[in-house]
Amino acid sequence: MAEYCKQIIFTRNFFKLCHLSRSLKKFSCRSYSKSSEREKKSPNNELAEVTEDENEKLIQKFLRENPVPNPVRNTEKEYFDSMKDSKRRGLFETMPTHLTSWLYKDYIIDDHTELFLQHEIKVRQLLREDHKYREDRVKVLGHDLAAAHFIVHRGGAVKFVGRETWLVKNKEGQVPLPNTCIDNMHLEAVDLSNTKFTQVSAENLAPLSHLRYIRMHNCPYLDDWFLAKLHPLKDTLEFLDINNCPEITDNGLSCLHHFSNLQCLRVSNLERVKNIGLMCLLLEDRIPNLLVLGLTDDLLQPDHSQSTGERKLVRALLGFTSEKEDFIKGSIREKFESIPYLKEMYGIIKKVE
Amino acid sequence: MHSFITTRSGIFAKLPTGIIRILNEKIFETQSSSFCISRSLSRDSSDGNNDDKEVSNDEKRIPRAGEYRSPWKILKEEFEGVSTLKPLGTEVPRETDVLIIGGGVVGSAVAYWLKQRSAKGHTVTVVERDPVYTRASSMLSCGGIRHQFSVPENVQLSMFTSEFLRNIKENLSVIHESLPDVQFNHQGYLFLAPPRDAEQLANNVKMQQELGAKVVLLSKKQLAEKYPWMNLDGIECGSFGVEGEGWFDPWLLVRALKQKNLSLGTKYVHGELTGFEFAQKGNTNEPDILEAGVVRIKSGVEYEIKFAVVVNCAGPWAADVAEMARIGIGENDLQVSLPVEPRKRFVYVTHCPEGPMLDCPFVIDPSGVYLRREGFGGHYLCGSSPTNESEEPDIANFEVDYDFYEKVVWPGVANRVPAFNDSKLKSAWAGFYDYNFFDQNLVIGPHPYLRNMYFANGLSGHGLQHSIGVGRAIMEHILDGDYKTINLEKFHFDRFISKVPIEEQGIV
Repeated sequence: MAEYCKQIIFTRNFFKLCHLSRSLKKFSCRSYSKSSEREKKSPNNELAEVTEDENEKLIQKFLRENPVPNPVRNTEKEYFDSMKDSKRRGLFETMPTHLTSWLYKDYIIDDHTELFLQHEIKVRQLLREDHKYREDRVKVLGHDLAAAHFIVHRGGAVKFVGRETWLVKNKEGQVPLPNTCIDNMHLEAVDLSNTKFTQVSAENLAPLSHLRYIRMHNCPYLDDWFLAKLHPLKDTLEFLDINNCPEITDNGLSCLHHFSNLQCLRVSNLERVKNIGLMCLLLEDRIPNLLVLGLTDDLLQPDHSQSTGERKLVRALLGFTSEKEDFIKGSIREKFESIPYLKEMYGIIKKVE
Repeated sequence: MHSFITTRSGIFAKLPTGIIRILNEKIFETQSSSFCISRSLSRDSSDGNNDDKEVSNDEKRIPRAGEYRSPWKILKEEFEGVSTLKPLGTEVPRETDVLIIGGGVVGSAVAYWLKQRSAKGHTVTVVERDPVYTRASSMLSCGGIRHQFSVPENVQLSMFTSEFLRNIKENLSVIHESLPDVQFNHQGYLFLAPPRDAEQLANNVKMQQELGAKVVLLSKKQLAEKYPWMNLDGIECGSFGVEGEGWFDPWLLVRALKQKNLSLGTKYVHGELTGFEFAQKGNTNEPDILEAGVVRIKSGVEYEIKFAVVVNCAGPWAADVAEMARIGIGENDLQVSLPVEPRKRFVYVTHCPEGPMLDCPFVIDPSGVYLRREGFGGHYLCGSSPTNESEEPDIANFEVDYDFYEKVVWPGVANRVPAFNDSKLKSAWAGFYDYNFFDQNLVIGPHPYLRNMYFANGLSGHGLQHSIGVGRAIMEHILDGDYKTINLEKFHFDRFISKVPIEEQGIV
């Protein structure tokens, strides 16, 4: 890492120096002179030449009439020189600005987390640009095939109505899908697992008329906004499988009340959903036929941390020794000390020992 | 203390000033302690007596940059942190490019956009008198965001804020801090309309849809199907925002903005603006220019800050700041005052175990009563605006009028949602709207006469949802001289002089 940073510092300083020094500028002017000679032959540039000559005369006249003190005159001269050959002003100034912008940026290189953060932000921006809804794609392929291409190309899987197989990108990276619009090919199921889809990709799924099944496992960039943006599927979606999506919270699950036709919801490993039991019960109340899978009994208790703790305590008191030791020595002890009446019981156990 | 340095500067000339200061304090301990006592005494007297206050303030005022002062004095102030173990540099900078008055959500947003454009291009200083935001309007609001307005610019501003919040992890992430999250609830606003307002609502929805907002018009039948718990007597139709609307935690947004600003190099000053200094006029024909602001910090010392541009983001107290710049009390061009005043609004928290849960949107009744869910434990926020000017509550304090709940809010809510007949008031709080009593709309842009005074005021209750867009608009006007994205020219101060109000129906 350190070497990499040093390289960056070195190259950056080097380019800055080059950029500033006049010698390189002159060098670059020379190298460009050949091309300029070629250009002079064309008739359009003759006009420009005349105006350049006039400019030069004016500048010389101006310099003669207004003599300036030494150091200032130098810079003035440089300025007018650069004005004179505005087409070939240094190597970097002729480049497009977005290529040279990094030269002018300040990076804190002592702290590598800054670099990681910049990288993370850049990745998110690029993904967002990549996942946008594109009209030209839809024009050629139609909504369903466009969405299928979009998903399969980025590592997902799709299934069409009336077909048994899931279509995935093969080992050579080819997409097994037609390249023209075909009627009556409707997407039925979509698998976004193990991909980097962001919330913007919901715009591609929204116009699908026959989508019944969405699976998302291990999607680090899918968040509440994605679930909120799926509302156009409210009459068709029947099965939703969410697993290990670290950015989804309670507010995201509460958006699912739109899906009045949802038959089955599978949830597991959602770190940031605090009251998953409550959310699922509320969703079951709201949607008549909904079946929620992936919940254990513990999670459905009003406050599951407390109830499991109580159960463990009772088991410990009844003499399940291994658990007793675990619970006294382990990290659960801290949890018990936060609940007043359990703290007393904990004291009793200690006395018995 | 000071005389010692100046008389014997020959001996200590090569030592750094911080060491000189420490040496001085060691040698002249008695003197310095007496100095402290005299200072504290003068502070006490300044609190007690008004006549003394003016005298002592003049003594303590530290002038702005550009005026001649002894270099020793300046160095002494700069290195004051050495003895007190604080970072070097004075508490209040003596000059800045942009001075922002008010560090709430609008002030922070302006600072963010200025620094976002170029972090080292210009210095930005934010003056905030209440850094924990106990009185800030945005903190005491419901935190809602909606796209349903009748003026197109307002819709665009809200939509931009939604877009910003959607990508908040890119926009406001700071190193060594967890990624920002404002806990956005995607529930949407439901505006209900009686038959006489139905046409107006349909026109509004059409306009919003043309601008790209995801708003749908629901008939009475659809409403009854979607919200079986709602009583729809006297309702013809409703408009519902399906995407990008909802509510979030304003505190988290302001905190994230502030952290980002600090990381980009914005200076936050804990102090209160007490006045402005005008530039010396050479010609009588030249217009006045504001040159410096006077900021009093907690210890009572006053600092002058020289600035190029000042932005008034003082929220409900914006008119006071404007008056300091003689707007409204001056002659000729300064006759017209800023028509912004604080208006107190109450938010009530009720508990209703049988109320609507997941599908409860931000309901806005035609009577002006609103209702939204808070968390998943059966708690709801509700409130209302008074219908008459004469019923406006007293703005001297933050006390809550509980009679208002009994008389207006509870009957209104229970009429619309019958389940609320069995509800219990849990708590309540009061907050201020920065109410524009001319036309309940935004005041933005430079003052027509004092060209370096910018306004971002009068948002009348939708400040939180427009803050980000307003911040960007002000940045564009300061740096580019014109609006580049959303043209807000019609919200300029000029409309108070020409007396042309902009009508907005969607004020809650």
